[in-house]
Amino acid sequence: MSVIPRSKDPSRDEILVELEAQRQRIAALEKDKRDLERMLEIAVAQAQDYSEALAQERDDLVTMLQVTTDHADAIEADLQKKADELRERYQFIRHTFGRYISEDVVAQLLDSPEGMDLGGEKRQVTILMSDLRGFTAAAEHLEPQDVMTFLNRYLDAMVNIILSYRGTIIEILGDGLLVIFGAPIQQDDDAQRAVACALAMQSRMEEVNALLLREGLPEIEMGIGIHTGDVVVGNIGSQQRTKYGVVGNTVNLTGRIESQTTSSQVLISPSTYRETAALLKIKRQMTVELKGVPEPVTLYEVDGIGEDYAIRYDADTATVICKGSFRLRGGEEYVPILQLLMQAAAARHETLTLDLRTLEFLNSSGINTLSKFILEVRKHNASQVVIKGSSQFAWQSKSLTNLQRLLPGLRMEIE
Amino acid sequence: MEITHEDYAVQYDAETATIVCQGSFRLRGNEDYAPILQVLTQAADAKPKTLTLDVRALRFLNSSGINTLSKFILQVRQLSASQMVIKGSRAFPWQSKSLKNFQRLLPALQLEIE
Repeated sequence: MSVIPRSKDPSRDEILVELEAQRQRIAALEKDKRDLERMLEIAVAQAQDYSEALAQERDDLVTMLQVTTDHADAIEADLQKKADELRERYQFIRHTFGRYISEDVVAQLLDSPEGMDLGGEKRQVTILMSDLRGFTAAAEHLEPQDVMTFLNRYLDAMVNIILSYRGTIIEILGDGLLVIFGAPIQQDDDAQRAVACALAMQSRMEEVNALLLREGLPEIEMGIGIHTGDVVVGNIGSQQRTKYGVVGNTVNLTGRIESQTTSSQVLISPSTYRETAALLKIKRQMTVELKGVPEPVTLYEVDGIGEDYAIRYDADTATVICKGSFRLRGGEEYVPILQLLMQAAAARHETLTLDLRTLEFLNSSGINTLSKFILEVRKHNASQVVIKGSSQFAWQSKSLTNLQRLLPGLRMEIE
Repeated sequence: MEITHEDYAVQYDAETATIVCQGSFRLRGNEDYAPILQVLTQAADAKPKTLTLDVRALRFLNSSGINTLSKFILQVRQLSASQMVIKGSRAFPWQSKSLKNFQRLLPALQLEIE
């Protein structure tokens, strides 16, 4: 038998070496595997940490949102309560003053922290009292219903005028009115507004009389007395019924001044005259003896607020109209006019019209006053100013055009 | 460290470890609140044993304001070094509700409403 010789078998040593190499490879692989497993574990743990942190953050954010929302709700509730309190305050003021106080005075009262405090307070006010003369005689010719219709129409007209001059109507007794200027809100021009109001009331009476005349009825005249002095104002009355009222000798004196009127007159006391003299045109003055006053008193019959001139600011149309001849002496006398102009400037109308077409004459202090007004408008930088002039008055073209040097944006309309 | 404005003030007194917030906080958004948060963060970072936030004279706090305080509370929780005390007042109705809510962010928070 022969043996086919094969390639030489690996020796035992060789096999052992090979085996050892294999074992080492397996060990290395197993180590790799363990490492990978460790790494995986770490990664999973880390991911878990992250996700826990994220969950925590999400929870915090949800809580913060809830906290913020709850907080907003709580604040809204607080604000609602405040709004309710304000509404109550408004109703209290409306209730206390009735219809006889203008909306802007109510707004002002609501704005002032002391607005609710209507306890007695001594202060200076200007009092206006009016009464109709000849009304009883006229009433005799009318049906009772017509008397009431007339009276209501008359009062309605007067109340509107008074409110527009920011007067506070204290009392309406039949055809008589007791109005104060300077309470509950005090203003610099209380006396001026009272006199202007009286004149506006008289001018309205002319319309009423024209109507009566057409119906063949006798004319009615209204006497008005005005006096400035100290009074006590506040809520007066019993617990059941309180009312904003006024007490003091000033009130009685106003009544006595009013009773001195003999026709459609506006009589003012020296104290009112002192505050308004610069603006007034006085028809005549008289010295009278008044009950309760030891010395004779000089009363002034007002003919108009500056008969020579008139200045009117209409906020609705954003127009200031100047008429007549402005010959006041010096800047001081122009102060009330400047104040009115400043008021118009401060209103920041988009377009502010100054209508001077019937302004015949304006002295140097007057043009100076206008210049100050133009500068004020420029300062506010809110309004386009339009000046309407007339070529009928030669000075206007030149002087008014000069105002453009102060305010280049000024528009001039000379006709 | 303190911020004083005509409407509000925030002061941190390191000695008593007390932050006092007063007035009305009506700042707009987180950006405007950043300086205030900075004062609060500084107080938290000081890690006092007890940290007091006194808001008894804090009349008003808007939503961004409550948000800022929430962030501060979370910082205190994160550092977990101080016992937090908040002093509030019943005079301002919103406080009872909103301050209590902070306990949801930091359960250990101690609330003293007077």
